[in-house]
Amino acid sequence: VETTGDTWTPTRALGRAVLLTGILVLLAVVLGRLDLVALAVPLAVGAVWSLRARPAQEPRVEIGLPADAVAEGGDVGVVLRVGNPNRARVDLCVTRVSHSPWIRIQHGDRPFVLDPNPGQSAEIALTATALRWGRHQVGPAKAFAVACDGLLLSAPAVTDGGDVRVHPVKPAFRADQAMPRASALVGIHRSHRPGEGGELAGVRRYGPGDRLRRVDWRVTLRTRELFIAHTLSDRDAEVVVLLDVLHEAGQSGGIHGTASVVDTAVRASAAIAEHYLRQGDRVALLEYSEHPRHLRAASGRHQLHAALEWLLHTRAAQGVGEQPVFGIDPHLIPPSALVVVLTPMLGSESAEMIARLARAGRVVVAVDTLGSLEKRPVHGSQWTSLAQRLWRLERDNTIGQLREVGVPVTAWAGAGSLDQVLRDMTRMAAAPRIVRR
Amino acid sequence: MTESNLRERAAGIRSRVVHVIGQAGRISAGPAVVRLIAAVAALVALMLSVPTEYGLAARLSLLAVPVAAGVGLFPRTRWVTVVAVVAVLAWLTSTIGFDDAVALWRVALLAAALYLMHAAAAMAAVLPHDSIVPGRILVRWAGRVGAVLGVGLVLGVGGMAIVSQLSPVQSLVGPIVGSLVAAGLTGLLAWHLRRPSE
Repeated sequence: VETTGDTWTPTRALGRAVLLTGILVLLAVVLGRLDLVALAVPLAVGAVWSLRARPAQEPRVEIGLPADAVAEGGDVGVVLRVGNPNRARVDLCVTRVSHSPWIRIQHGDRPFVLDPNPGQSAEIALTATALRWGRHQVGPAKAFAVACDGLLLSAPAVTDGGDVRVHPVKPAFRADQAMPRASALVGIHRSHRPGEGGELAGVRRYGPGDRLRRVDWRVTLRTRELFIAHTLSDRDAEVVVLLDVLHEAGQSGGIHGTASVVDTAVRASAAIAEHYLRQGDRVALLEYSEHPRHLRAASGRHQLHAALEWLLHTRAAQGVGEQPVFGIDPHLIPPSALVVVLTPMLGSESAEMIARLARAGRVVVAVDTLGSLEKRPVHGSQWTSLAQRLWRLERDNTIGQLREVGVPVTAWAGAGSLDQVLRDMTRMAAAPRIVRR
Repeated sequence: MTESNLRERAAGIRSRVVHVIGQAGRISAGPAVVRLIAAVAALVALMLSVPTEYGLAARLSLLAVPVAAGVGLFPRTRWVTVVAVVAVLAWLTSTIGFDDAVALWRVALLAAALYLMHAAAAMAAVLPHDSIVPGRILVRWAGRVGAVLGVGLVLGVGGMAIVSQLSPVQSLVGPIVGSLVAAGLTGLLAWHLRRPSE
């Protein structure tokens, strides 16, 4: 099929029809054979009939994507729309859409054939699933039309497509322990933020995630329906979630596969942020990478949405990440804040950064995001297992050094991951301490 | 040629074969049906055009099958035109060289097979082999092909049947009229292509 710069170009089939008709009629005249004319007539009639109405403009193609973010593992509504702006009918439009491997589209690797009527559009709703958090490209899409029974072919029409925002799935997380340095009620004005507290704001129906101890039994017995006491937050704690994404490890398999270090960090951050924001605390996010980022501390539902959007831009450095030009400045973090560092402990820079925060007097909890990847067998030469063993010993040593400077290190295990270390830290914070004067 | 060159070439051929097998496995129903129609029509056209005497048809069928399969496999290439020209030349050879009778049914079938091969190859050429094609598009295409075939056969074969009933007269009018018809047909197609769209 030849295509030139024109909008519609004849295909090889048209040349074939003209050539065969010409040869057959010419031979019929020369040899005086009527049967050759009879052979030529369907070809000639077909070509003339097909070319009676020719389109002039190329088709139009659009991709419809959801404006709102979707959840990891959720369905994505992708609509592929092809329009025929001509008054003449086209036989069919062939369209193909490129997309990120993290958006699984049923038959997405195949071209789709549509038949828009003249002046109208035809669309196909594609069954798509978001396999991983992040911003994923759907598009560009390309379409070409065929008219006159395959005798004419349009130039391709292209559309850029757009991004689908996929929020990370939030694993179940709760931390029942009190914050180590929560300064309780501040000032004389009560908070207007809903959350855990003693100031009663009213009662409301029990919902998923509410604690049983909040059930208002008097109202419940009266109404025969579960009601909980709705309180205003009287907490003044700030949680800083620090994502160490200087190094990536492991292969991300999406929502149904294995989690890489960055996957674990992002999903855990989302869960921790959601938990503390629901309790009325302020949450800030920090990224320790080649180009550190910061989301200012705030509270409420708006901050949860902002945090999820902020997390979508998390990128790990390719290969061995370079040390950031500007590290994490401890002054970015208030002294009373709880700093939860999600780190795979893969480089000395990470351990140094955590130790620096601890020495600056910040309350730091390190959450190990490497998980089972640490024990993953690595195949190689006879020296590989030995090298891996040495690396593990070195890593254990680093973790031990961090504990020595007062940073508890715990593995990420979803719900209750932080309870033990928070309990210890609260006890330590409450204990009398020697202060240099 | 060194051993490493040979190995590289063998690896290239192997990867090419694997790619072709992988692509063949992806073919979807719609394009497969269209390609099958083109190949079968090519086979019918070739079998109808070869001489019926001396058992040539049976011997040539072994050759005709891969030739016709080429039409289904490579509908975008010039192979389709070559097969159509071969069928016409074979038809002339059997009717002139082997004195085969120009029976109406044979002409009608050959005309239908030639047009069907051309139309199916034209459609197969623009349909990607792995595309998902709604059935209604193929049904509508088949309807159009059927209509063209019906009109073409009525005009062509019907006209031939009527003219053959007339008594033959030697004159210059026949070739002149025929030439004019040929020129008119070619001009009509050229005009169709040159005129502005819509």
